[in-house]
This record gives sequence, C-alpha cells and structure tokens, in this order.
Amino acid sequence: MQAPQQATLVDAAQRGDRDAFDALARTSGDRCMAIATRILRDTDVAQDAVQAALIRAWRDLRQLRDPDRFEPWLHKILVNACYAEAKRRRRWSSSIRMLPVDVASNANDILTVHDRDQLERAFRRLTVEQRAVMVLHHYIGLPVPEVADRLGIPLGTAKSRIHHATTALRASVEADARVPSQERSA
Amino acid sequence: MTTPNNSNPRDADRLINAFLGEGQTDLPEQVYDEVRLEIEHTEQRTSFGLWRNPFMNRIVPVLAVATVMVLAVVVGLQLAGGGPLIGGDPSPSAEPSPSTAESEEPSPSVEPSPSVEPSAGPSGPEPAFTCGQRIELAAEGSDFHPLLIADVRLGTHDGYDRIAFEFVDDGTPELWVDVAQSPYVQNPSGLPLEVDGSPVYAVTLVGATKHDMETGEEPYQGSTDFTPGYDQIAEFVESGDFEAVNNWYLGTNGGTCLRAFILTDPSRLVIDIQH
Repeated sequence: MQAPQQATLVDAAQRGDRDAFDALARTSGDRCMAIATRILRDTDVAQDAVQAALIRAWRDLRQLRDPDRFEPWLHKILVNACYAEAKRRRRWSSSIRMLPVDVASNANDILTVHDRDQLERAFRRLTVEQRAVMVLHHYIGLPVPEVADRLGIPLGTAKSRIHHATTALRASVEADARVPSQERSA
Repeated sequence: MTTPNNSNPRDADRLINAFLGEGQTDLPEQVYDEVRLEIEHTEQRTSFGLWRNPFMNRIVPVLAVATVMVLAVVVGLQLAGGGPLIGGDPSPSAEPSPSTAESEEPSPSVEPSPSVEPSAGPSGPEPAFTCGQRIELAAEGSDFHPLLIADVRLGTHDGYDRIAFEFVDDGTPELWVDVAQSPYVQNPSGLPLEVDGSPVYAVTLVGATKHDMETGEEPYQGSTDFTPGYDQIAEFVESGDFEAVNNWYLGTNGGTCLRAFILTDPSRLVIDIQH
C-alpha cells in the first residue's frame, strides 16, 4: 500500500472508522506476524502479541500525530506486546515449539539442521529485548539509530544489545567450526 | 588445540540472517476477525491534543507566529506603560507564556527565586499560578523541528517546586499539562506505570525528544525518574519518547496550582507547582 493511501486510512481510523482500521490492520498484519514470530519463536504466542498490539493500536490511535508514521508506531506497540507476552508466559521457553513453518527455500540451502538447532538454542538464550533489536536490525533491515528510535531506547543501548546478541549467535555457529584435534583423531 | 574449518564471521552472519529469515509471515484470518470483534466494542482513547495532519502542518506555524506577535505587542504595551513589574530590570527572556489567560498576567505576589534554581535565567515577571486548569504553551522558535532535550532539572523554591527542561538549540516545544487518570501507562506501549503522588499530571512535550535519530546524539543522560522528596513533587517520571513527543507523569502531594512559562538563553521550559 502506498503511503498516501495508508495516511488516508489512518486519518479515517483516527476519526473512529473501524473499516479503515481493519484495512490498515490487513496491510500491516503479516509484517507484524513476521516480527513477532521471530522475536517470540512461537507462532501461537506471536499471534496473541499481534492481536494485542492491533487492539491497543486501535485504542490509542488518536495519539499518533503523524499518519505517515503509522507502521513504526505500530511496531513499537508490537514489540512491547511481545515483551508483555514473553513475561506473561514465564514458562514459554520450556514449552515452546520449534519453527518448522514457512522455511524459506534459500534458507534451506544455507542452513543445515545442525546450524538451525545451534542458532535456535543460542537465540532462545538471548533476552527478549536482544531478540527484538536483532529482528528489527537484521530481519527488517532498519539502521541501528532507527531501531533505537522505534524501541524508544538510547542508541548506545541498541548498539550494545545488537553487539551482545550477534556475538552470542556467532559464537554458537563458530563453536562448531573449531573442533578439537583430539576429537577429530578419535 | 583447535582447527578452524571454512567458517568465518561472514559465514556466521550469513547463517544468522538465514535463520532470522525463517518462520511464519502470514497472520491467520482468525486474528483479523478477533481484532475486528474486539474493536467493535472498544472505544478509542481521546487524545488531549490535536494530532498532526496536513492542515495543521500549514496552520500551526501561522497561528504560533501570530500568537507570539500578539504577545509581544501586549508585553510591549505593558513595559511602555510602566506597569508594576517585579524583579527590577525587565528581561525579554523571562516573558510569561501566552497560553492561558491567567498566565498572561504577571503576578505581583510571586517573585522569581534564582537562588534555588541554579539554572534560572534573568529575573522578571512570571505568570500567576492557575488552579485546576489545563496548561498549554505553544512551541516557540524551533521551526517545528524536534528539539533535543539537553537537561531535565528539578528544584525546590520558596513557595513552589520547579521542573525545568533545557534544550540544545533555541526554542521550546509545545507543552501540555493535564490531570491524568489512572491507570498510568507508557506511550505508546500502554504498559502500566506506577506513579507516586496525587493528583498526577500528564506532561507532554510535543516536538521534543532526548534522542536525535539522524545523528544518534543523546545529550541528556540523566535520570528519567525523579523522586526528590520535595514539598509538592512526589515523582516525575518519563513515560514515553517517541515520534518527537516526550511524555512524563508528574505526581504531586496534593498540588493543584501550577504554572508554566519559557525562559531563554538557554532555552528552558519551566513548570512550577505551588506549595
């Protein structure tokens, strides 16, 4: 959807037009689902987070001053909804399901089952806040200052979270690249 | 001893990106249906300010300039008429705010207290306190670009407690101060926020932020949650900083009379709570 069309829908929705908001939700829902799924690593929990975020967005839409900023504004609400879901389900990590769905074909070419398992384990060890910056930066492709802006955190905090998360994920992959010689000869 | 294989940081990053690329990207239809059902009986929160639209973008600067010009004429007439000014040499940097009828009139009963607030500017007339009323100040001199917050200071004075926002560049943002109703929430997440004191006021700086998105600059690194133990300020806590709108809650110990005005050189936005 082009920006002017979205701004028009936002304007109408701010005046209470539920059909306009429904249309807005449908333009942003898939992207929200992609973000939430990657942060929370669980499709059901991610759906709950997106649903909560969309309802909150409807309720608070009149606080959005610039209609052109709807999607960044919604993403901030979404990330906070992800935080809330993660905290609400304190045992979520132990009951979580893997993410076998919609695996991109090119990812299959790159990732082995072992790579995926290692990264999944490492990613789950990250805090939900670290996952959020990783998803916005690496998956959505936002520059770090914009990640900081969307999340409402200092730039230094965003950089730090990305650094620690990237280091942890790299380490999980590179650990397998350093096989002890004794094991190799055994 | 370890033996590296063909993995390197670049390979690792490629794997990480591929890993993050996996996962569901379609929001099921049932979620849209549930959202639609929910919003059918969910009312939107009323914003206590106007949201921006193209019309506002054109008209607000015009109105602000007109307001400043009218104020300048009013103050000029007062000075020319030799009105009763407190504090000696009147300074143009300490003019009262134009936002409310009450605050346009200098109060002869209130004198500035430069000894307590070290950042206070030149002395001059300050507006009277208004009780139980919404306070709104127009933005000044910023060309409506977001202003970077340089400092947030609290101080206690004889007769009032003071909150002062200082900005990196000249100008001050639009300010709203309104009574807030619980539950108090963060903006825009809506996550709950505990605020000490009662009544609690929502303090909104429109066109101000702590974080410069373009440069990454963040000059203010101080507290965003003050509990100074003053007579009137129980807590002053930031509740949001997004889209160049900086939100705070002011919890008071029964404070009902407030005033807000602008000081310059450097640019400061001041909120006083009467004891």
